[in-house]
Amino acid sequence: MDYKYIENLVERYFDCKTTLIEEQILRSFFMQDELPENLVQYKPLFETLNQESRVELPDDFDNKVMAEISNLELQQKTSPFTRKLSNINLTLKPFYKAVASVALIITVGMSASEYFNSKEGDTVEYNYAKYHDTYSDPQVAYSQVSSALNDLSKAFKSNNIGVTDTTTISEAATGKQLQ
Amino acid sequence: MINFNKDVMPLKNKFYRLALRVLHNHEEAQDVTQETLIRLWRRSETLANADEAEALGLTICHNLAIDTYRREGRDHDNLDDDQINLADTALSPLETISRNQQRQLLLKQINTLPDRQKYVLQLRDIEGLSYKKIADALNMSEEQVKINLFRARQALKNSFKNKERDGL
Repeated sequence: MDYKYIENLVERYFDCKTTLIEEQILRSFFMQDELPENLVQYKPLFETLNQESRVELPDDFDNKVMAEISNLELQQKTSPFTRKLSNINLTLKPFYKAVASVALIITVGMSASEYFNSKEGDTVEYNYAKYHDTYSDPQVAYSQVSSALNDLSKAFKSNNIGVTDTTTISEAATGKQLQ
Repeated sequence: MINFNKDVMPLKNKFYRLALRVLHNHEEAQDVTQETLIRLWRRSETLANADEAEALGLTICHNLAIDTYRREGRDHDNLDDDQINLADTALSPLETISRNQQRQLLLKQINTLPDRQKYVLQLRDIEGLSYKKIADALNMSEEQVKINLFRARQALKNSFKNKERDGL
């Protein structure tokens, strides 16, 4: 039998040039009892590797692990709320800092703008928020204002109080005067 | 998402053998394996497949075993109490040593390799893992895996030469 292939594999094995499959071939090859003289020296190595790959846990190990896992499952079931809460907590944790920074920036920004605006605002006394409408229909309000100003205009005319060029509010409103 | 019983439990012996390689103590290796499995169980919802579970499990197992080893404060000298004394066998020709003794000698040789070489050899030559998976598990580059494996295999090869020489 020609062992050149195996000899070559052994050489490549020690140079780390073998594939996983070739290494498997070597391990299987060295399991046989009859080996040529030049290769028999490597038998203990591959036998040892084989032997070590068969070391296993004792039979009762699975039961121990599964018992421990059922225990943990039970603990989780008895407190599903805590688990849910901690899950939410874990999911949101990375965003906590981001949310805190944004909140801080908004707070600082708002107080700053409030501060500067309040200084400018000191000289302006208009407070539109305090104004109340006395009419619910804008058309009615408009005609009321028109007639009031008309009356005022007539009063000026009749009393000749230095008014030379007057016009009615309706004309001004429709832009006749501007044309 | 993985199925714990189908994808993770079959890996238990792989974890156990790695822990055993680090700790040389069956009880401690079992504890480390159990803890590894439980940690994988806790994360089973986030693991995509059995391969991912294997790589993560090996990393966890390796780290836990090393932590246990350091905590116990042991050194390499008293690890192989149950094995044969090298001095006795070095005097005999290799042929006269029983097959069992030869294997024990080699095991001792493997166990006294530098840590990185030993764990790379464990995962490649005993567990048959790819370089990529070993690199992920031991947190090193594939290149480092190959270098350590090369040194480990060369050390074992040299030990044959030494034995041949001693035997003559």
